[in-house]
Amino acid sequence: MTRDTGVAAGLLVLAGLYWLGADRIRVSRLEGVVGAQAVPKGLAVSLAILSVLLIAQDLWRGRRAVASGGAPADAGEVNGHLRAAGMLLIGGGYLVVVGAIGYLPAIALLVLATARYMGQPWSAQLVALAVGGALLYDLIFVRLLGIPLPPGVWPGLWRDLAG
Amino acid sequence: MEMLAHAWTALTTTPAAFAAMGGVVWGIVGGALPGISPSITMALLLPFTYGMEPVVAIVLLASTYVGAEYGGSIPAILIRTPGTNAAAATAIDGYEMQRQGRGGEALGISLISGVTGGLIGLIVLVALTEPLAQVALLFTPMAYFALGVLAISVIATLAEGMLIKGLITGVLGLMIAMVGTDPQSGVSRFTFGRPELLGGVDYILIMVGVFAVSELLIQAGLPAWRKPQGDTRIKLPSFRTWRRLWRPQFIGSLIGTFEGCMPGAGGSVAAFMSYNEAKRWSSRPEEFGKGSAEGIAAPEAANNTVACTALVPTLTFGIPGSNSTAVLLGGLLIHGLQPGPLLFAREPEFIYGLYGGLAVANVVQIPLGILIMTPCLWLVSRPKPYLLAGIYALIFSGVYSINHSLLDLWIVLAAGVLGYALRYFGFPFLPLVLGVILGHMIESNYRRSLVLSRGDHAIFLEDPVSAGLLAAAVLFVLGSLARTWYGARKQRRALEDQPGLSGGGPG
Repeated sequence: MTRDTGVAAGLLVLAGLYWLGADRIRVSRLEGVVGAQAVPKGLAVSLAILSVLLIAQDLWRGRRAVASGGAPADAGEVNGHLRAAGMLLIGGGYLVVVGAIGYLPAIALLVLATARYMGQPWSAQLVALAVGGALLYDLIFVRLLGIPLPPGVWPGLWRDLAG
Repeated sequence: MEMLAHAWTALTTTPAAFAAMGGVVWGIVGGALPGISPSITMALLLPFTYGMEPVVAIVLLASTYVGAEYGGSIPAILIRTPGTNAAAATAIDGYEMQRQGRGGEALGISLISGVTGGLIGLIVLVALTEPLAQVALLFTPMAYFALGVLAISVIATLAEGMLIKGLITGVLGLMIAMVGTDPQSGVSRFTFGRPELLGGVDYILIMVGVFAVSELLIQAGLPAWRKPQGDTRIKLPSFRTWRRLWRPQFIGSLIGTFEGCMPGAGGSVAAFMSYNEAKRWSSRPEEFGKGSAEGIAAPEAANNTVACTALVPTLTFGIPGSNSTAVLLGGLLIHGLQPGPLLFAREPEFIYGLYGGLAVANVVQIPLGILIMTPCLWLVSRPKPYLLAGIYALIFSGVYSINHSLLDLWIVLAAGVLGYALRYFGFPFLPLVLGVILGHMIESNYRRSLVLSRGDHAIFLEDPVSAGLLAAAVLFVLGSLARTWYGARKQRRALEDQPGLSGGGPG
């Protein structure tokens, strides 16, 4: 099975799930000639048809030995995916902790972790840049633009400690 | 005169002129970073435009596009790494000039040619947009539905040999657009019980994820960027040199005008076509590839012309022809501005303010381009890990500021993964973005049409504009199929002609 066929098979499953999801959309008495389910179901069918066509195209190309998509991924490619996954984990980690520890420390950790992950060696400059960057972002977004970025548990903690 | 008065009012009563300057600076810096395309530079800015006046927001985005097209030529000339796709043609002669110690001159030619192309593109934009928009007055709900289908079909057919993949991503985009409350019946669709999703998935989240986050994920696995060496100062071309450049600039602007008005053609096609044509019409074609000033002037004029003329289909019909204009269309819709003739009738201050802002952006590009060269070079020379960490933090902070929702950030990350997967598996992602943006328009006009016809689909063929647009969509798809078939046949014949590979060959 080549890469395109594998993707198309996944898309077929997605089309099926989307159809089931569309089928569960409530039927309203307010809807006119075309209900809320109609277009989503049409899209699910379209995706299924296109996925089958992609498989057919891939098989046709495979038969003519033109396709090279079936080649196994080399070590560099796998490494690239792993690097991307790591970057994604850092982003996910930020989202998990930002609510608890607050924007300023979380963004400092995000900058630190990303720069470190991208190969920047540990140094005082790295730490200073992460802290300085976080302070700059806090100044721009929270102080100047007035955006209520998550404060974390600190305000409640200070209140408890104060009284 | 009325147009000038509107433009003047917009520029003097709002901070649009400052937005134009800010956009140019941001665009030059973003464009100068290898891998950060104009669309990513614009997408990063998009969350900040929410609270702005519409004219200020759109001038900021459009000026960023203008600045990024020039910014892309800086690393192309200095380190032979185009900052944008459109600057790849500039790298050919630009880097040769840099090697000969004429990097400053190359940057000056790029700047002047870009401004010339941008101003010509602006004139074309002003002349063409309003008359073309009048055509859209003939549009019925059926025609708007057909226009949406045509837009996705055209964009899906652009990448050669990827018709099915393009259509699949278009459908995926439309599927995402279905999330939220159905506007006609009020029932919720695909919201998984999350109240935050009742309003649908904001297209800004998809754009930031697909363009910016996916690029960060890709950059994570790539080696460090090369750094520009030494202190390079821009040297504007002398009058004598400039006289030699008018012809390639004219060629670039002409091709840029044509390509910009065609959805999907984009700056890179225009730049390479202009390079070839400038060489063909040059009195010194032998200098091309060896540090020719004309070899920089033509592509730079072309891609900056495209930055203005690409707004013609976007403003008149709401069809963005490139990633950058898709972001701009997203910006328009965020501010409740629906492209088309009514935009010209109802919002003249906005339209002429945008023209005025673009004129300011093009003119100030010369002093700003010279002034920020040194800080720009300093910035792009910073270690890649710092720059990517800063961009990642900017994405998270900027996106949160839109709805103050952490769910939005998860959606952006998910869209980033989707964009990464699409790139890896060779799917074009512009149809996806277009599907998300146009999904509501397509569905609502489809359903409105069927209400008018009481469920009879023949109405789409009875309406002449709708029938014409749908026929054009079919022709685009058939044309793409024919191109793919012809390309495969040519490839097969080439393989068969290679000795040792054909069945009848020796061995």
